[in-house]
Amino acid sequence: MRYYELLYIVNPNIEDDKTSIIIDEIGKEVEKYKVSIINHNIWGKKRLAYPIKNNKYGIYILLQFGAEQFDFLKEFERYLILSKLVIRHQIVKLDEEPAKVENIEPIVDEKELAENKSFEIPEVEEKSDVGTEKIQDVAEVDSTDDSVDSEPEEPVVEKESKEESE
Amino acid sequence: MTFNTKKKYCYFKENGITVIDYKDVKLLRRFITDQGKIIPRRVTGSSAKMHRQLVRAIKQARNIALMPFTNSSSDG
Repeated sequence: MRYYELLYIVNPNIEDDKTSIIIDEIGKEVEKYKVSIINHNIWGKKRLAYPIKNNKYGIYILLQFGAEQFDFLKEFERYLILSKLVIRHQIVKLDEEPAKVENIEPIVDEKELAENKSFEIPEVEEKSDVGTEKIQDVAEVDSTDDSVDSEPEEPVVEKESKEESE
Repeated sequence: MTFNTKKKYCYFKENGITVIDYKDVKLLRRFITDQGKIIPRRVTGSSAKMHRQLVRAIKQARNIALMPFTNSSSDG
């Protein structure tokens, strides 16, 4: 048994109800190939690092599965490329069996979540969020200063300030 | 003239990290520059073994738009 992980991005312009339909569809498509699905969870809507097909945001969905046969991957990838709602996908082979997760805690850093919120609701709450973020960042930088050069840390702070100004 | 005598340590060894996951963007961000370039091993001090894993993880993260390829000013 080999284990694989598929992370795919769905077009964010679809309605909320339809994401579950897409998950079902893709789940059925994989199961055609005698595959056991371990996890199939939504990460949520996230800002993309760069625009894909003119989309600034995307809905990330993570699928982990185990397979006995391995020759179906090409066919499955072709299906993903042809499906219009999946704008990007990536299949990675895992070294070990992934643990089953019931309610996935999205592996999204808090900064980005806060960013997303600030984009959707530009209100007074935003300010307080930003303030706490900064303090956390400073604390991180301090704690890691001994192990890593200070250079890699600086850009993070700079980036933030840029994004805030936007 | 003074030389920087501060010893560099492998971040992963210090923190007991043996496997780098491409989904852990918070960790990977430490190892890219403002422009989004991967910081060389001679600067970060990571071990060769972990640096190879790191590079791979960053490239996978870029592919799925978790991390930027570039951060030029024209990018919005």
